[in-house]
Amino acid sequence: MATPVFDGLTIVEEAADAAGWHARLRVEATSRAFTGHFEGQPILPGVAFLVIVRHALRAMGGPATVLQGLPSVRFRQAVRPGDILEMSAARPDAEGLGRFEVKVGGALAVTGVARAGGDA
Amino acid sequence: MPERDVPEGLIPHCGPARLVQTILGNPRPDVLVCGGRIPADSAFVAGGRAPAAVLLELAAQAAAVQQALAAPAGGAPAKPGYLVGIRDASLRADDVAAGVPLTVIVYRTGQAGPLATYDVTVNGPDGEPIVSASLSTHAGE
Repeated sequence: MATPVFDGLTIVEEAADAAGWHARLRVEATSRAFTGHFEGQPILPGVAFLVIVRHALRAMGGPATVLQGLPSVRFRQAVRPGDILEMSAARPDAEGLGRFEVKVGGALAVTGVARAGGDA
Repeated sequence: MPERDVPEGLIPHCGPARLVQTILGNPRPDVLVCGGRIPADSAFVAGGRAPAAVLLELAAQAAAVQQALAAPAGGAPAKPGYLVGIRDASLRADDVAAGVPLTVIVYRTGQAGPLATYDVTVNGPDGEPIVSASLSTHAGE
């Protein structure tokens, strides 16, 4: 099943279990997220990963779950048109905190901790 | 200081990726206040709204504007810079309507070569903060 999260992002595989959420995603070369970012050197804006984290939190906690905070995020590697992402997000703990990471070609591209909550 | 458009070419973001629009104030060399919005044709807009986390991109672009304005006159043309880290981000809304006027305040808290850190706040049309965070940026190669 392919579900759009933002224009040009395809979720190839997606699963949530007791431990958390895992997905394989493809960033289509035609995504408008690359348009103007940047001319001749397209890279995915870092906030795109945060939009995916928001989606992951909802996949685990339901549609009322919101992204309330990001205690820390580190962007380690640029993501380019056509890249395949392997992404995982831990189920939030009692304080709403959960780690997430994104790998591209086996290398860490983004790591971070998100804070989930109810309606913002 | 009167409001003015962000000069063309000052930062490399363009089209639907360009969120920052105007310079509203530059009260100190390390502080910049900008206006912006999420374009309706942004890749992150669905049903006229975008996740509030996208406002961190607006803040990162305002930081890039601050960097460019602080650079010596006649410096190199705009080149891609990178958001390399976020700390202590707080999101007080889940999403934001595209097109609404937003105000972003960036305060440069540190600089070491191409690396810089900023405390940022993005306010909604009512002046209330929607997103705040500390950002780390790299000016690019």
